[in-house]
Amino acid sequence: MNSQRRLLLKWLATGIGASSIQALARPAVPVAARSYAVVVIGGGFAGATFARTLRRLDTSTSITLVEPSRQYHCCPLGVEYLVGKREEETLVFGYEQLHAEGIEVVHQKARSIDAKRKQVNLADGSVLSYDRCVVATGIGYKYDSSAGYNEAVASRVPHAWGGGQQLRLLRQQLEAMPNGGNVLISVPVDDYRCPPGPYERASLIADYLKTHKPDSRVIILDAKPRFAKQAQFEQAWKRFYGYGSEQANIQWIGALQGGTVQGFDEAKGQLLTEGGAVSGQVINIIAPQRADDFSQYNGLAAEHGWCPVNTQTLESLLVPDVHVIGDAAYAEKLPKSAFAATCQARVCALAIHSQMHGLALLKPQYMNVCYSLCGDNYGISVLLHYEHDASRNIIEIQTLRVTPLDASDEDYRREALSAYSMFDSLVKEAFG
Amino acid sequence: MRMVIGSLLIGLVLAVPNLQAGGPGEPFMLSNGCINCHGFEGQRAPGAIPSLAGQSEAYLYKTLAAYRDGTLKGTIMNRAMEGYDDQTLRQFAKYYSSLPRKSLGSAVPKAHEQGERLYAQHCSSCHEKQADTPYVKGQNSQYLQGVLKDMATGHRTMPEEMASAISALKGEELQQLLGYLQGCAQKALCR
Repeated sequence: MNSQRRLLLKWLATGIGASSIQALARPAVPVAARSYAVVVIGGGFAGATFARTLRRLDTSTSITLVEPSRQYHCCPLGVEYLVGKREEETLVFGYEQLHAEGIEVVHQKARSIDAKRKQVNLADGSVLSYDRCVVATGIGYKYDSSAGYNEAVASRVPHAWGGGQQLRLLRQQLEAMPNGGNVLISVPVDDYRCPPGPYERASLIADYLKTHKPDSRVIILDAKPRFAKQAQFEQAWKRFYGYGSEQANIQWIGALQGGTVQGFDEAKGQLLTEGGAVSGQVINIIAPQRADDFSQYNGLAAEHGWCPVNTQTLESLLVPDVHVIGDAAYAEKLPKSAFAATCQARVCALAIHSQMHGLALLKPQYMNVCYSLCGDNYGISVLLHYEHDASRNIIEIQTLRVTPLDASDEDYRREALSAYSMFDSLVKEAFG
Repeated sequence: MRMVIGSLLIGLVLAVPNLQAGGPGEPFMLSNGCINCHGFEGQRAPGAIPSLAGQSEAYLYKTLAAYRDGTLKGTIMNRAMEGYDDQTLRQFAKYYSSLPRKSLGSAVPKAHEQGERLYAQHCSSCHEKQADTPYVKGQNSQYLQGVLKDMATGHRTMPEEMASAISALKGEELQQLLGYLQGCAQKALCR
């Protein structure tokens, strides 16, 4: 402990009133600064949760959410829609509750941020001024990542890594595929949204094939040598889908086995991997990812494609008075998940609240939980605890714990139920 | 108040391992990860995960510590509580116990009157008056069913009082009682 800190603690012990200290803390910002303007760009889990959290903290603040779509098509549990186990309506949410809470929701596309003037320009020519801008615009795709693949191809060969049309298209293709056909899933290297997502998708596709197209197989072609919850997934695959056998409905080819996809031959329906060409009747290329175009065009993204932030406040390290939350943010070592995104949203709301009122920043707390469904009544999960390391601007992983491999059937059943239950609460927190 | 000083020297505060007592945002920050499952107000939509708002502090602390120590087996909660010290668990317990629980309506429908009578006769003396016992009215029924199943299969200890209370009930009465609690959870109908 240095002497300065000791002095402060001693000073504190004398019982100086909080108000006078507050006034000292940030002389530039009046303590009673109740009203300020925040513009949130992007109405996914991160943006919506942020807006509602800040509204709870600051009832009189002007909060505007800019989101072109009137409805949000979410990703979590989209896999159940993909294989016909869930109606699409259960994955679509509106912004009525946000509006009811006094959050202005503007259904426009944000065009640019004018950081000097502290203004957001919208596609219809209108301009929104802010004290703070929060960007939650999510991911974009690196369409130029492999030969024979581009954005136009992706409209026919879906990545289906967002809800809505892409997911619908993949579902239609799965349904139309004859028995005996192969489904190929190309998985990119890190970082991408929802690290265990491709394997959950493959699990439920295998479940679908086993019932509806038993001579078919889903083949995962992976650019990584290993993957999240691998032992747990593989255990489930062995148990339900004959993984490892000749008749298996599921197969994984990792980077070390030549699984990395280098090109796509659309005419032949082949993915060209390091290990050779693999044919498929349905091809799902989960393209490599980066922060979305809006972040890129507004100087928020670094060379690696993501938006570096101060991990205590989620403020952009590149553009002042702009915060980036959710999948677009480079908040190492948080993964890109709805859970982590909403944790960031609340940390960011608390930080802005504190900054606007001249209060001390709190030490940020983060956690991540990802549930994955592997079949009916069978879920697995990972939970990570983090410790914020301010000196390195890193959210360091403290523990990473996965469903034990000797869990009981009842445990797996409850993990599946918890997956649904957590989904309901994530949605309730974000959209009401 | 220590946190207020912190804004003078943010770097120093960041070096302090635990959250400091004081500001209103603090228990909220501490429970940041909990909110995604248990809700901002500690109240949830129906489902397998319980609401925590308004549970007694003693019960919450006892339960969280048991998850941490492994004496109570859950699925993810053992992993979620891993590594927290007693002081933090007490903060969680204090925070969630201070949040208001769901207000229940005043009219009990006829179908549940017998269940309500049984609840008052066999359950409420512990579940509403004993500090380290959960408040079960309005709790998610899917969660309650899980707890009862664990008790029935020996995966969770059933207190003697509860065992004797249940053994005093006929099968049909137990159904009425559970139906009443389920009604509380689903429609917030109870008193």
